[in-house]
Amino acid sequence: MERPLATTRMPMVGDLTRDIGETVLTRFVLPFELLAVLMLAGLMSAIYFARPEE
Amino acid sequence: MGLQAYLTLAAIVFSIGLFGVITRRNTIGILLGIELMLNSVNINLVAFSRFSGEITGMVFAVFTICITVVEAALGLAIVILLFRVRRTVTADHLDLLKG
Repeated sequence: MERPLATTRMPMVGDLTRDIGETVLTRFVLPFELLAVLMLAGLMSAIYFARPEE
Repeated sequence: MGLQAYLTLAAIVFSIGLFGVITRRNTIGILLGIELMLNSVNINLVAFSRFSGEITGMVFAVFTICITVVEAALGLAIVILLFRVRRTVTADHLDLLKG
């Protein structure tokens, strides 16, 4: 079955930024929190590795 | 301008990043190529999301941007450590594990 790629954009009504924020904090809240933990661990590791020698 | 234009742009950006990763000898240049490849993925996600009317792709793009930030920070920290130990950032000289 052929499904050609879309050539026209679908109309997106409403405030897109608001919709993204609401989606992140309602439907995707678990990946959001897990990503926060990952970022904390990663950035703390980067700070530890790059700290100046004593 | 259809979806093909955005996909073509993402493919070109990905190819440029891949070329940079393969050919650059400087470690920081390799990291820049990786950043280009990750940005091309974001272009694809947002393009598909925009043309299908679903917002999931844009949310996923936000998540991949965050992961890119962490990866860049860790990569640069490793480059700093390597420079302290080996006094070089050239990838050719980083062959301690070579048999």
